[in-house]
Amino acid sequence: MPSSSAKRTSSTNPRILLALLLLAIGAFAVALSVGSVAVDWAGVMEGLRGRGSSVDYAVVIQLRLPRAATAFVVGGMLGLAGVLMQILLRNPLADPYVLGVSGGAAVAALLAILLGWHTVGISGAAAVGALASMFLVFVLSRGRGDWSTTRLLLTGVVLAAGWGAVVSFILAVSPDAHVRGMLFWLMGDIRESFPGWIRLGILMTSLLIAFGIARSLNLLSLGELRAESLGVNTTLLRVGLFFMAGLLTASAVTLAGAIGFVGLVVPHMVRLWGGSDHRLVLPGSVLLGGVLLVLAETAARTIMAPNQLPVGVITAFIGVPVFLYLLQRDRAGGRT
Amino acid sequence: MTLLALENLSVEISNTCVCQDLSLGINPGEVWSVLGRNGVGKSTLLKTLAGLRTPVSGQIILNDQEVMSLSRRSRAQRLGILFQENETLFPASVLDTVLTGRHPWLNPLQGESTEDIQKAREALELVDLDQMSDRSMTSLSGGERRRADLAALVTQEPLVLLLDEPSNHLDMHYQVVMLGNLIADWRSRNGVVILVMHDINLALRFSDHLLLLFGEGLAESGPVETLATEAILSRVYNHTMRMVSTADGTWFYPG
Repeated sequence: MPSSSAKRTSSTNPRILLALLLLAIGAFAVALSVGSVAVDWAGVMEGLRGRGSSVDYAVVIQLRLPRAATAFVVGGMLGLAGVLMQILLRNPLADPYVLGVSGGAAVAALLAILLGWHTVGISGAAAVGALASMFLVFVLSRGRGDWSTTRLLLTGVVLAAGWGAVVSFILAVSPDAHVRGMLFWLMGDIRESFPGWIRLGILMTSLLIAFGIARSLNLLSLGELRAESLGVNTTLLRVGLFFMAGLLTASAVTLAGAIGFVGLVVPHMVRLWGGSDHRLVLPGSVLLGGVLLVLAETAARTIMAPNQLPVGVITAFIGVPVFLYLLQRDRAGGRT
Repeated sequence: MTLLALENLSVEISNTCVCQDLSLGINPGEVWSVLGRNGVGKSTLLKTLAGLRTPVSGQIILNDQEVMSLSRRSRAQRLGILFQENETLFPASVLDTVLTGRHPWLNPLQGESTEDIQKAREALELVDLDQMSDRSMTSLSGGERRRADLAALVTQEPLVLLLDEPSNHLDMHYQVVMLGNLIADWRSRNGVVILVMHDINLALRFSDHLLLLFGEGLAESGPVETLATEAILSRVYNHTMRMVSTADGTWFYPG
């Protein structure tokens, strides 16, 4: 094909990102207009401009926009953390929670709920738990000699299992009045708070840094030694990936609990759609993770309205079949 | 003037001595083969030469500069290594994989230019994969993947090529013609090629110098003519090696 003589295969990158951006706008439109109170498009637009009826304004600006924004930021964080974790652990099954960050957060959050703390206290406790677990994994997995991927993965998985047991223990001994709140926290639950500028800053900064080292990430996925031979400081890169992914996960978990599947499935969906060049996978996963969670959050508060479902249940319902389908299709294409 | 010099180099792996106080000089345009038994440390030595392992003592001097003192980037611009085996975590296209060779030449935020892509395409032509540039690496056969990895190394344009078992998975034609062209190319650019091979005859066909590793730190180096004898090669492999002479040259086979 003479036409492809100087073109590279991934020349469609901008188009896929553009499509995802349009999807994101669409997802926000759905999230703002759908719900127990119907608001039409004109109402949404008026509400966004700060005009219109007071009901429209209250519903769109004070209820739905903060939740949608939170969902988008959390989804973006989980998508990005998933990509980084899969590269760091050299394992396509890795997700943001595999190293026990969410487990540490869960134990701390459940204890806070047990003590009767309120939203801010629970989030604060979860943040402390997540960061403590992250440092514990880092220190324990370093040991003597090299910081090997296998030891990191095993340390994280064992610690996560340990946190899981502690969570079960707390659930078993807690009074019934607290258990429902605990289960909602564990399944992932988006409360009506704005994501906050700090979290948005963490997401944007992480994305920018990760995008800046995207080519090194491509090399790392070809093997640590090969990346090193092409001039990548793999030790520094991996430590950086660990803390970036950990911080993103901790931020997401403190905001919305441990929402599953987004971090595992989204990076794979982007790769299957647009190839495995991280210059596309990183921004693509942030956008798609955000879209998925905005839609899941909308579904969670409408499917059984006026009852609300935990968002994590919805993402699992979407994530499991989509992932299995992609895996089947992939095998049919002879790529695995 | 020597391009690559080893000065009193001692390399160890898991308490096994690969070489002890090894000194030798490699001139521009020379092709060396490292021969030795399984587990004697040939790959370890190659990784040390590439600056990926710290030697126990001694120095590796490339163009008057200590290899370990070079920045990662300038080291990768000068030394390229083909590993015995390569892994893929997520399947990338053949062209994208070959383009990874340009990494040491690009700034962090810089994308590959048309010129870089042109270099990758020329390298793919050299290994006869230009028709497969859009295929996924995982859909290639073992030999094709090996050729794509060689193309990535060509695209890296290092002065020193370190090839660990480059003929693995390659059929006879590609072993002789493609590797032959690649090595001739580096010779004419006044570069250096260091090969680790188990096929003695292929090694002798390509190289002008040998580095023999006998184990326990014993090593010998020199021109092919002085070292390629039945007696010395039998000692290398701890197995009787015989030689036949034909109109095409001399050939070794295990006795």
